[in-house]
Amino acid sequence: MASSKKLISREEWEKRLKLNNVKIRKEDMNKLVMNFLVTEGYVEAAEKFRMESGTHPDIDLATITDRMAVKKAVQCGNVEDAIEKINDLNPEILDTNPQLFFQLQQQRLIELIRNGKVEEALEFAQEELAPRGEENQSFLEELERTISLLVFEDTSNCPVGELLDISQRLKTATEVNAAVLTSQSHEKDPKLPSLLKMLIWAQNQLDKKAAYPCINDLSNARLEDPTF
Amino acid sequence: MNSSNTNNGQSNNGKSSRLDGINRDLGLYFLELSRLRSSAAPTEMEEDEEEAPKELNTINSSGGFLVVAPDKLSVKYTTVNLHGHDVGVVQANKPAPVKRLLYYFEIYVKDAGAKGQIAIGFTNEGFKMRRQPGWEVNSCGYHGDDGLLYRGQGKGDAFGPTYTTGDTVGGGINYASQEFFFTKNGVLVGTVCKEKEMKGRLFPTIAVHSQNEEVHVNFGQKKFAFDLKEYEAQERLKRQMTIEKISLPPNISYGLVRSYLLHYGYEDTLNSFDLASKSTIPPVYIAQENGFDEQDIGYALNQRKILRQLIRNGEIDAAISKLRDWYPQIVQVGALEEAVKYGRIELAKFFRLAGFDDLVQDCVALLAYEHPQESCVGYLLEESQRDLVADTVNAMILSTNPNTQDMEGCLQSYLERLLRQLTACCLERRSANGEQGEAFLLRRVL
Repeated sequence: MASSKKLISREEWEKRLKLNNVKIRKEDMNKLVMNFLVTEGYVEAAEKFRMESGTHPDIDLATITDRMAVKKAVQCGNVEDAIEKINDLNPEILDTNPQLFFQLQQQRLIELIRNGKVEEALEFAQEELAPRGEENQSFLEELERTISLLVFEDTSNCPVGELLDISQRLKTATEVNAAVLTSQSHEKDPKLPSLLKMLIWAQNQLDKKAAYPCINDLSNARLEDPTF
Repeated sequence: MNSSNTNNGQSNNGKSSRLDGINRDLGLYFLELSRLRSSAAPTEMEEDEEEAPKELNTINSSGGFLVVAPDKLSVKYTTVNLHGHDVGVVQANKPAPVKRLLYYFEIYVKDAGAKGQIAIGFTNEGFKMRRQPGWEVNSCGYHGDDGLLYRGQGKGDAFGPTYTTGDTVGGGINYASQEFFFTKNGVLVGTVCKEKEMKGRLFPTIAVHSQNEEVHVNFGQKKFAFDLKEYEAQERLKRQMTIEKISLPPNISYGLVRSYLLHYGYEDTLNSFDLASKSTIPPVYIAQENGFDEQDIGYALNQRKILRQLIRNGEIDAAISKLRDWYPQIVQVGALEEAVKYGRIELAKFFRLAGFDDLVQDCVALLAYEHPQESCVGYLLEESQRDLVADTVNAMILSTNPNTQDMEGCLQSYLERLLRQLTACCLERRSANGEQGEAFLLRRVL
């Protein structure tokens, strides 16, 4: 059953985009950018942005510095240091987040293996991680995957090689960042990505009823002529 | 005073009128922004303005069978009912407002009378006022005697529990999901799809049909038994979760923030941002981004930054002087007369609003004065307006870039264009839905 879609020409659509119908205030966009900088932890950039634009950050920038120190420690592979810092900030974070704590311990194990400290790695795995594995099936599986790194001569080609990749550290760092933000009662995600998703969703929804100029490439925000 | 009316668009020294054209467009653009900044958005205002039902409509109710109390908030069936065409129906005095996520109202059954044939629902304007809501097309009703939901025909569908004396029953419309929903004593009973036929304005409707039935209505003046706010929050959350599942290209937010900083000339922020990003954003992406810059928004970054700072600090003399040094084609000192006349005659035709053409000529004249802060357009240099002026100057400089392909690039950052598209899509979709539902408001998100 073909439903009749309304066709909106490019000219017509650009009229709708004109100022009168659609109001986006500069202050609001500034707030959106500031929110991004703050949530993602760009402290200096947030401070500079405050000076250059007069926008006020929605949280105390000092709390960002602490959080960023933790994130950096994880990104550099200094997991013990990171754990200490997190507990300094708020001991409840790791207490209430066993998944995160396990992930950090796992990262610590990965770093030991990466540095060739095999004996220490095995000892650590046995004492700290094995008990967790007993309580939780998915922890056990992860533990086994990590330990299997020791088996392979050429870790760059083995099936669990990705554990040694920087991206693994970054993944953990992101989780840590989110947990700290949440504990500080701040939303853990910046608002900008949600808005971008909303745009994609809104375009898809409208697509059901009309053929109109879409933006397909978000990075250059270019309007493409409607296909009918 | 020179009284020639011709060619006010040409600049004094005969240089490119293209630049004049651009400056004129830019001037207009930012003036419009300035006007809008000080007023509420049209969509915001209309959402406040929409009238909601406050009481029962005594004019079109089936007067012979029921009595509406003087406060117009309760109704009683007075006679003895004999058949299906002597229902006592009454609508609200206004239709349910549509420019919002939900609408809701409640009834309290004071007395179920002889047969408890009470109903709550929605009907359209021309409804036959002697029939239960739901028994005719373009109406729906949740009936107390049998707990069925009637939707435009004499046979109802199983829906929920019956209700009687002492019960509080609510009826609502969810514009986002296009559903009706009903509640009993604070608990959601169920939802039904709002059929496409039920277009047009819908009136909250209640009905009584047997002797001594008495029902009180609450249009929000008193607290509802049902936690509407919570329900609304849940509905928003549902939609949000659907949206969150959508995947984005990697690092797109990073890229857009970077473009934003470049576009407006926030150089110091950009440098800090780039420095900090080195450890997190894959280098491949950064290289791609730099190579791809079509409109070259890094153009004159340092100069734009300096000018923005000067303007924000109120150092107008310094700003104008630098602007004259770097971009003499933008600043037209001595062309004040031309600028003022141009403003009054040429630009006034774009704006039919009284009093606005003054603002137009003021802003255009701003850059033409020797000592703008002492001039009558000095108000534009007040702190609150400085950002607007800085943005204007920023755009004007960007327009001098020989690589500039179109005005769009100078006026709006990519981020702004995306947000505009989002707003326009939501408005258009709402319009396609008969104006039902909320518009997108960035401020609400923030």
